[in-house]
Amino acid sequence: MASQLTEGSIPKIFKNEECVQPILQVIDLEETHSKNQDEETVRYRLKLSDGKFYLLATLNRQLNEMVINEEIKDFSFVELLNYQKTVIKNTDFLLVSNLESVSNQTEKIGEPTQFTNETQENEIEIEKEEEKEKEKEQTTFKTQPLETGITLLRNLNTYNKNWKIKVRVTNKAEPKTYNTNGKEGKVMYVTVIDSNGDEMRATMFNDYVTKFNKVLQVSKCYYISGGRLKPSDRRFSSIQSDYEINFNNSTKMTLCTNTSDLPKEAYHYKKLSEIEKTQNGMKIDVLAIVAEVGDLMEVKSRTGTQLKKRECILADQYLRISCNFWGEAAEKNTFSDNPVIIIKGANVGEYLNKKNLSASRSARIILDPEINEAQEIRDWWYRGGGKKTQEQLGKTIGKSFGGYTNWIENDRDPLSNINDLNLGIGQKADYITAKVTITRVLRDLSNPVCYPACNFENCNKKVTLQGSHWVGEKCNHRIKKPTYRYNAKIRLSDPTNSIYATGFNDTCERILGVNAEEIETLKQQGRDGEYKAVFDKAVPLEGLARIRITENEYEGKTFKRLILSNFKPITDYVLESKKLIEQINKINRTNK
Amino acid sequence: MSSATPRINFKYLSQFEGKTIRIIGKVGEKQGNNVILHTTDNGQVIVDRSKNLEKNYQTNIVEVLGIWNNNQLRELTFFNLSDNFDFTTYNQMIDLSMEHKEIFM
Repeated sequence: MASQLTEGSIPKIFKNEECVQPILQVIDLEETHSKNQDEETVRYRLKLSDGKFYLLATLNRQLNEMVINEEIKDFSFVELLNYQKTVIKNTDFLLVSNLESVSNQTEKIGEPTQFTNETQENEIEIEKEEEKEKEKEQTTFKTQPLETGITLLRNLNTYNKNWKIKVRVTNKAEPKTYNTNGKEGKVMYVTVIDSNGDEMRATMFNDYVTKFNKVLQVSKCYYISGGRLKPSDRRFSSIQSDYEINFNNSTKMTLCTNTSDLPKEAYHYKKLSEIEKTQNGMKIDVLAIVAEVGDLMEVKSRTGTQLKKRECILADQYLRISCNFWGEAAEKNTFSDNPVIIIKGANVGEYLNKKNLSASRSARIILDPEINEAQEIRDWWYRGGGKKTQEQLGKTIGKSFGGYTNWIENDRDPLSNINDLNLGIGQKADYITAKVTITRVLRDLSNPVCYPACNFENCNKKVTLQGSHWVGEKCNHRIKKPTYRYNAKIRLSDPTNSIYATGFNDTCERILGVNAEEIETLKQQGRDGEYKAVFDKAVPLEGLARIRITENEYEGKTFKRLILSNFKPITDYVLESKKLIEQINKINRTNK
Repeated sequence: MSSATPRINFKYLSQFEGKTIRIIGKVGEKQGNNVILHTTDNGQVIVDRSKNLEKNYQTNIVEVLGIWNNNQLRELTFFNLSDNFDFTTYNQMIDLSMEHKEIFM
């Protein structure tokens, strides 16, 4: 109801500024009589209010009727159509010649005061004050600290000792144990941000880890003083700061509740294209969308410990890159529904001339941040952006059992590349997509196509018959009847080479068209003709093979272990032709 | 040394005067013993079918094997393809095979 009144219209009218047909409230409507040469004239005086201020007004006589028939009365809302401002005896008056009744009301809106010259001056004062306040707020994030005695992070260096900072904790990495040169210890990293938006890293060791881990909580704010400043090592941090602080026995921390001047977050991420220019071993912050997610895998590290790993592909409007998540980051995040991701402190690496990223526990992962760039990437993704082939900075994932078609769009590798490029060495497996023909499926006594598998909770390990039960050599489960699963050696050939790759259950089922149970039944029942027929169908089948390559050591010799993780018979000849032409053109271009 | 009959399109016909070639195209108008073949690269070839009249083209797109002489293709035999054929990719292939004649021809 109050919103019907045109806010700020009275000051405008007073200042003779344009104000189109404002809606005002009638207050203190009174009748006046004046005698003028024997003629008694009735005039109506009133106050017109915009809810905050009012002006004195008089109605022209032609409007008198509106008062008489109660179109206008006290508290009525009226629309001011035509008026003239005059000054009578130092008081401003509005002579109203035309107005329209809007509605009759029963109460006064607000506590309006008369708008006079003084009011105007005061108004200007108030405006100035508000401006100042706003400026103050803004400079808080620029260079002047709001509070006295607080040092900005950018002003910290190794020379000043008596500093006190007011910061919010934006990241707290899990404490890590280390063992260098026989010395064991604990270290913890924390990232803080101050009122200026600058970030800095802080470290603490051993007992101080325990001590400060209890105190420091992510997103809470603290006054901190005391500690050792040292130049930052960009290999371990992507934070844009020349220094980092080491919290030690001189460090004091107190929780701070006056936190309005501290930002919640600092996003200094880069586009994926920046990775190309970043040195290997350095850290970087990136913003992208998770385009593909691999399964959680367990990998054995060089020291023998089991590490959890998840291979993913990150993409933005221009590039794709391979990113591996390790440890907790791999376990906790399933990245379902292609979330937008910011990774702070991802490691830049390189493999086979292609850059890649890895994120371990020291990295900070933010999913679906509420910032404009995140929305832009998401919009691009929904419009089908991810489907168009982007240039790749890293390899695509080979997923073991179906699911992703992206591996088919890879460049085809000749099988000779396995040896020529020495693939498979190093901790991570290599994958290639090759166009091959299946030339053989081994099926003799020393190479059976399938094996009896433990069906206890997806165990799948080999079991052997011991008496009346089947027992797993490695899993020790006892089961009544095993499920047969494929584990076949398949010979793949192309113009450059022939290799044997192992196919597991899903892949073989797809190639042979029957499941392992059926094959085993045919074999056991001696139905040789049908048995042979299954394999005759598979050879020579032409298709795209996704091959996983690792290197193993056996009795002092290294050899390549090849797994056929996926196989797709060629059905789309046009696509294959296009791919070939593409590759031929590439060769031609480089040769010219 | 015998080699397979080269596959070409309209653009390269002039290089194969008097030779046996294969050419793919869409079946067009019949003109007596002749048929117009609309090649994959938008050319028009008159195919003289006199020696092969009993057999009819079964698909919209065919490959004709014949001798190119005096602006006519004297059909020796033909192959039915599908009604669906990617002309662009095929033309690219022809261009590449002409570029690397030593491998393909």
